[in-house]
Amino acid sequence: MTAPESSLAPAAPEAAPRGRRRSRDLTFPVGVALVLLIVVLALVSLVWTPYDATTPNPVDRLQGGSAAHPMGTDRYGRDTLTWIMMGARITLLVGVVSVGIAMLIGVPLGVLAGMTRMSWLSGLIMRGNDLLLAFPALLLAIVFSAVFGPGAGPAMIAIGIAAIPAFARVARSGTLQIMSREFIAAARTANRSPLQIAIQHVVPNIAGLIIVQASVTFALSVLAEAGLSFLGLGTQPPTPSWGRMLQESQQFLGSRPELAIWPGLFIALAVLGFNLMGDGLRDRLDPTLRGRS
Amino acid sequence: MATSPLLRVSDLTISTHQRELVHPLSFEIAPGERVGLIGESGSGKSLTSSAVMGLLPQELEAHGSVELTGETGNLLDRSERSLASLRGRRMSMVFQEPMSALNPLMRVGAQVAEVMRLHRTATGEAAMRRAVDLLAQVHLPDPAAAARAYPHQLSGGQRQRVMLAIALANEPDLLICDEPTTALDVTVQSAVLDLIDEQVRARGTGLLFITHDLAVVARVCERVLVMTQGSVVESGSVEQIFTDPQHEYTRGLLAASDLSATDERGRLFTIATASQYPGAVDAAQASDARTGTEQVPDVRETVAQGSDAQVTTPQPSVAQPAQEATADAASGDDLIEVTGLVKTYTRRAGLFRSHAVQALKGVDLRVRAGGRMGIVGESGSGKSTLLSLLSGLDTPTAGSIRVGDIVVDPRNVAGLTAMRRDLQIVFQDPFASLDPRMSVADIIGEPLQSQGVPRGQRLARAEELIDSVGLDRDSLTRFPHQFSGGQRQRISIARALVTRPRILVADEPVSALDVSVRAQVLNLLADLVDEYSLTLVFVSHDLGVVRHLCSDVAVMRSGEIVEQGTTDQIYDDPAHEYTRALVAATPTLQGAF
Repeated sequence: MTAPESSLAPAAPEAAPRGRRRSRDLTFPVGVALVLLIVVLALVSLVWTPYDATTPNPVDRLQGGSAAHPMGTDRYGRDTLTWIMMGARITLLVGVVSVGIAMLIGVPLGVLAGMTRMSWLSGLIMRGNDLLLAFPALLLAIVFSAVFGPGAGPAMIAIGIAAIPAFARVARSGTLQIMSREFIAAARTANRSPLQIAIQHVVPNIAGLIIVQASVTFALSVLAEAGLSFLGLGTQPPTPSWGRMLQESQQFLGSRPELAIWPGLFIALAVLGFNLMGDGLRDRLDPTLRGRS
Repeated sequence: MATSPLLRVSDLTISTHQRELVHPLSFEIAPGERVGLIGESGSGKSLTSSAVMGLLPQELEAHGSVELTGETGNLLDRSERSLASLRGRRMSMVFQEPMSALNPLMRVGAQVAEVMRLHRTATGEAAMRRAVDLLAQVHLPDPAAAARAYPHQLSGGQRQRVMLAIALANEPDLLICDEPTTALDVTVQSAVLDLIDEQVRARGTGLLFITHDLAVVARVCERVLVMTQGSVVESGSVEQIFTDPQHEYTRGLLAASDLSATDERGRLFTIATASQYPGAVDAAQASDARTGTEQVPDVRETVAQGSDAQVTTPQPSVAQPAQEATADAASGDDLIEVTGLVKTYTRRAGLFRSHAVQALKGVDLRVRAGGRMGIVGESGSGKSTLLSLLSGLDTPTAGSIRVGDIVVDPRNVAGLTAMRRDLQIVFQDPFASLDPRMSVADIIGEPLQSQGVPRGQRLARAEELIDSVGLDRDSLTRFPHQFSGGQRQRISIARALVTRPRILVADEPVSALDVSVRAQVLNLLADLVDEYSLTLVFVSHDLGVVRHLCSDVAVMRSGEIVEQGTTDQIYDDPAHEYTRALVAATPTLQGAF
């Protein structure tokens, strides 16, 4: 409508100060690189690992780093690198499943809460959400493992359920914004049903927000899985898991700190990677940074 | 001018890293002179004023020189700190949107006083007293009470008066107004323009008035600079620019502006313009508006009634028991009949209180088949509410709406489906009304999708319509952000017509568009209304546009229709005082002299 908006919009994103731009640009590639590292480790472990993960080898127990065992061995003589690689698998699996659960339940709920014209329904959804939010994931996981027995499955489900509110909230606030736009009114006058509007207009337009949330939630669930496994509520032996490696390393902290450092480092890298990727995505997909023309 | 100029801008360029947005630009403003800077969006007019004030966004660079009398050296070379001491004291600015320019958490009196305290022209109690004084000078009723109010408690016009009081507080030598009345209603705009004119004259302040509206500039300025694509193409006195424009862009702008305020009533404006402004429209524009020339407007009504009378509505409406008697009244002539329409919103005011807002207080409206009904009203008049009820987006509190044989009721899905085949809407904001994630073909085809039309046919229809709205077929695979506002509005029109509706409802379809684009879109609308024998319901705040396009007018004010009749009757002989005020307040080019 007026000059400042339309003349500046195309120019603004180009012309951010150089230094800031570069650092923002690095966030995303570094995040993606770290995530890729974990993914590659997991994929390679499917076809090849340096040693067998489960066979004890008492001769080589508690070794430091060497050519044969780059990251050393644990108290049963099992190769730490092998365990890190196998651990990446369960880490990613837990992330994918729990984010999937949270997204598949949270997003439809949030969209419904944002689209419904019945205020009691959106109230019900959002207050239920608040209730869930008040439950720490850990508590939920303890309850689940008490009911179903400890294991990776119940842990994933618990983490996923605990992450539902975050998705529901993000989806609802995005939906509310989209619903106030004129193209929704246009779709309604084109006689589209609410479900069609949700699928065709709302979800594609909030996808950016959801992806960012997924990335951040992924990082949280990596951390949660490690924590649960550390407590013995997550992945059960003999499946290698970074959280359990940390736990088992406890008694050797004085003599062999590498046993704690390696899994700790990879947990940190995975969390950092997904967080950076989420931040980078946010910068790239943020609707306020997305120019109109 | 013998005296040295108040402001001298020479060879000003503004650029990003990649390209130059404002090309070398020079102008002068004498003390007390009122200069208008006219241009459309993207012309660089606001950038120019920002550069003068030293308010350019960081990523833009300005070169050249800006000199203000009494200050040594080039203002562009000054530090932010020394510029800040000039702003609000020697030169000040009024922005377009007063709500965002005022601090919402500060009483307006304190905001007026602040600018004096900052520059130490008045302190303490004296500043506050003077603030009240200034608020009185900008004709706020009860200035003492106004000083204690927060911005949200004032109306748009009152806020703009406060902005003006702030700008004038330190008796600046130069006042820059950037589209100060664009966001205001017509009657309010008129009063604010008068006020700016009065204050600037009384104080002998130099004025740089930025606007896209020629009629507005004619009211307040002595001299005009016409700007397009980053350059000033013409400058001269208001009279000279308006009566004897030299540059073809100025002539085109003038012609396009005059379309809305045309006195050639009953005739399509491209013809009128062509004769009135010989050579004004250059070849490109002429080809864009090409379809406008073949119209014979006077036969439009007969054509419309003849060809479309027998179109049947698929679903005989299952009359709602609650809405008695209206279906009986279904006469052959009135395609739309609105009876006793009331809409009340409940608004929550605080935790426990809520109060009802009556958006519509019993509206009766009839639109005959083939008619072109204009609905005119200012913001808050209820015209948008009327539209959303008419299109079945909302449920009326009382009263009924009949479209064709169907009583509109959002709960009656079958009826609504049938009605929406017949009635389609073109929305106001071309940037918000198209889903950014959908291709143009999908957007245009969407209304057909809900009718279950297969994809191939949808595409074929979309191609047909993209032709009739004058866009390339390549457009179909592109996305909305690749189009300009005017082009998007064409896409929006194509979408509305894809179901071959009988009724087209246009909600302020040109208010977000530039003057030259506005003329083209209006032409297109008029053409399509004739071609598709449409009944048009056209909602606008702009009386000029409605007068040009519509055969009948209803004037709305605070939820009621205060007057309705044929266009000529309403405009030439308004019966209601509000209509008279509205007609009088509308700036026209003719009224400029």
